[in-house]
Parts: sequence; structure tokens; C-alpha cells
Amino acid sequence: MKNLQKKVAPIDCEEAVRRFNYFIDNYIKGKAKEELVHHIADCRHCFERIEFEQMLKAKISLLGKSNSANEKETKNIIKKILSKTYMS
Amino acid sequence: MNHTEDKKKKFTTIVLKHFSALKRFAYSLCKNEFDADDLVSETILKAYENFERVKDESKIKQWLFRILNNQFISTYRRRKKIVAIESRENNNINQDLESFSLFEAVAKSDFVEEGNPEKKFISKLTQKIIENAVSELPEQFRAALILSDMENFSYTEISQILKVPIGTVRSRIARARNILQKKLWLQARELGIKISKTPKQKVEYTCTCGKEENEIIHTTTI
Repeated sequence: MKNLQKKVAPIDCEEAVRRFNYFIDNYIKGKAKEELVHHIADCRHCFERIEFEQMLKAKISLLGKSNSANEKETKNIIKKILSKTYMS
Repeated sequence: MNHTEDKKKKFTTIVLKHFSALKRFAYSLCKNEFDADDLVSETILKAYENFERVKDESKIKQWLFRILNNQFISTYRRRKKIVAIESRENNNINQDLESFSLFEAVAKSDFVEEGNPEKKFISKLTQKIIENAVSELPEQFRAALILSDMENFSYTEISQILKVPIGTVRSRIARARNILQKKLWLQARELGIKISKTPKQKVEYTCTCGKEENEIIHTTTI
């Protein structure tokens, strides 16, 4: 039976590292993504490094989850700001 | 309820959802509470004035951030000279950091432990350490990183908020991460974050570039 599986061009570690940011930001698509996925499936070093980059990004994203503002208090702040409009 | 009251109520409900994020972004740009509060107020007033022009409510967050960034640029334009000098200085610093990788630094350091020292290193980074390192990033890199990593905007959305080409967004995020990783590394060392030292097991494997682990040279400037 004819092998219909697409051949993925190999990329080296240097090229893989260059694509890491685009991968973790979900910006890379198509062939470029396939090549990277293929590389990290075979290269343990790059696999661990990309995993590390993803973990670091997740840790940074936690800074954006802190929502200490009290809803009632925030509503009052917005109300106060809007009271400055001439339309009020 | 008249039209104005109705508009205010709807507007408040929407802004309420994004208020903390706007405040965070404003603070990251201004670096002081007083100016950040002013910037958020100006943004809210401007947004309210133009609220009726909004057609796609799914893009409200992006729209609010764009107004905030515009307000920041116009309000702080007189500080442009200072920013220009700061950014020239930062450019020089950043050239040295271009290829820094925290992963490589940890792997090559005495933070070595059986298992995964890099993951352990990340788990030891407190939110305070990360927050400090982010706040020390040069302004344009800090803004791009915050919009990407904290606010989850896509490259296209960031490009529209900051009014710069996508290529610039990509390079700002990449450079922000390099500088941030270097700062995290230095802070961690200053704070004495350490994982017990045990020789790392050497595991042989072959990667697609045809070299074994010990032969792979990953350049880094520590």
C-alpha cells in the first residue's frame, strides 16, 4: 500500500528555538508548525526547553489573573469618573 | 430609564469586567499609581464618549486597551525625549541579552538535581519575583509582553492596540522574554534560590539534528 503520510522536512535545534515563541503563542501554523512538532517529538532537549517556556508563560499569566478590586468599589469609581461627563 | 442612564448602565457593566486589566496595563505603562489612575479615568471618559460607535462588542477589551495606549502616548508625549534616551540605553543592554535562555542557564548551573531542575526552578519563582522582573522591562517590551502573556491578546490584536506592525510585536515579545529571563535569573541568584546539588544523570538520546545530547552546543550569554 502506498504510503500517503506527508514527509516533514527536518529542522535543527537552532531553527526550532527560533520558532518557540510563535508556538507557545499559538501563532505558528501549517508546515512550520508540523516541522517544529516533529522536531520536539524527537529531540528531548528542545521538548524540555519548550515545556519550560510554556510553564514560565503560564506563571507570568497568573499575574494577570489577580483581581483584587471589589466590584461595588469599582462600580463607584466608574460612576465617579462618568460623573465628569457633560452628559451626566 | 432615559437614554443616558441606560447607556451609562450598559457601559459600566462592560467596563467593570475589564477594569482590573486596564488598571494593570496603565500601571505597567506609568509605573506609578497616581498616573495610572488618571490614565484609566481618561480612558474611561474617552471610551464613554465613543461608546455608541462600537459595533462589535466582542472586541470591547481590545478597543479599551487601544484607547488607553493612545491616551498614554498623547498624554505623555512631552516625556518623549526622556523615553527616547531610555530606549537607546535599553537597546545597548538588550543586545547583550539577545540569546539568553533561562532554561540553558539553569541546566548549566548548580541548580542541578535529578529529575527536572528547570521545572523546580520555575516553581521557586514567586509572583513577587516575576512581578518585579516584568516591571523592570523597558516600556515597549513590557507593554507587548503584558498584552500577550497576561491579557491573552493575539499578535494581531496587540499590533492594533499598540499601532505597530506584527513583526514589531513578534520581536518585542521575543526580546521581552529574553530580558525577563535574564532578570529572573539574576534575581533568583541574588535571593539565593537553590535546589540541592546532585549530579545530573546523563541520558543519551538522538535528536533530529543528528547530534547526541553532550554534543549539542546551545549558545547562551550568562
